[in-house]
Amino acid sequence: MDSERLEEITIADLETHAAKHGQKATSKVLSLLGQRKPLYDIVMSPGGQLLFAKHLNRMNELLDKLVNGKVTESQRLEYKIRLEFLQSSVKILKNYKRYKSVLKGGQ
Amino acid sequence: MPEDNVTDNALDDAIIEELGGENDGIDDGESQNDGGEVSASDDEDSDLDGETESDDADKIDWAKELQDSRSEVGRLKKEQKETNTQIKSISENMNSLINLVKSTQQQGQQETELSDPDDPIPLTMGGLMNEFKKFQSNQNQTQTQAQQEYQDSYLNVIGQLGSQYSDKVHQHIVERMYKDFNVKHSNQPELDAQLNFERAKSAILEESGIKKKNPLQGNKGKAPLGGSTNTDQDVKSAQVVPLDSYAQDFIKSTGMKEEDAQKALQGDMPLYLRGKANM
Repeated sequence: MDSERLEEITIADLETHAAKHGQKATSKVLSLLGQRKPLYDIVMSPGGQLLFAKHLNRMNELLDKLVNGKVTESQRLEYKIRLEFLQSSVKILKNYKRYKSVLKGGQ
Repeated sequence: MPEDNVTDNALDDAIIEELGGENDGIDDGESQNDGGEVSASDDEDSDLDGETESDDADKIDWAKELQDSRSEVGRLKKEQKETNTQIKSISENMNSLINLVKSTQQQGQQETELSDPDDPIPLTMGGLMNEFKKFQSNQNQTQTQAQQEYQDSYLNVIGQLGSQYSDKVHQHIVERMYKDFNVKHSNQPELDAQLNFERAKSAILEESGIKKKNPLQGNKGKAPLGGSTNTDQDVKSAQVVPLDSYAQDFIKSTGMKEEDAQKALQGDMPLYLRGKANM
């Protein structure tokens, strides 16, 4: 199955996964997905996308200053914090995608 | 000689008239002032040499003026040269600045490594942004496309199933289906449509009291085809695995019912997987 296709999870997917890997594994994957879905929903919402775009723009500005050597200590710290936030968010979204493809039988 | 001088003066006047009409007072004034600046001793000889001296004075004035003009022109040329040099240097600076901005933008688009000495894992800013944008666009595109494909196939099959009934009956079944049995069971719209349609039809038949004749009513004791005799499987499937709050929230968010999900987790192995459990 194409791992890029992220259709919704269906009953048949749960049946298949539970039959192949066991109920515990399936419920674990469901739990992992449930922990990450709130952030996914926020990011994919219009407001969330606007916030993320602003966040990325600000990171670009700080990056330019870093590259040119015209950055203050507080800006450097701000860039680090924003970068960490972006890294963790991207990780969460990637994992969400991965777990969903696991349930869909992509792995 | 005096006649010649008179002729020269008249010529000057004619020229002046031709050029501008009235004298502006300069030339005339100089020529006239030449007379005034001449010393007393020179005045005495004015009858004889005054005209010659004024002529020479005129020539000296013209030469001086010409020299001044040439100097002025030379100065202007020099200034213009300096200005051109400055303009050239400014335009070169601007071009280099534009190239620098362009190259910086291109670098931002490429995956340039940003090594933060404090961060053990090097991260590519461009890669992160690309990853995020790719994720967003893939999500939107695939979801929309998949939904549309599913809906089209689903409606198509519903229409085909209704062809064996009259329009009125078909409409009745479809209404009942949309009311109580319009559930997405899988990603196969054909199977889902058939299942939902049949369930709606069965519900209508039950309510109307019409029972379907069982063609195998007389037969007893036949084992189900493809059934698994593995009792361990049955014991395993009977155990209920509780779903935590995150799993429950996720199930709700996808539109599934928790009871259906529990049944799916506990249920028998689907037919298409039997015999392949250990693969």
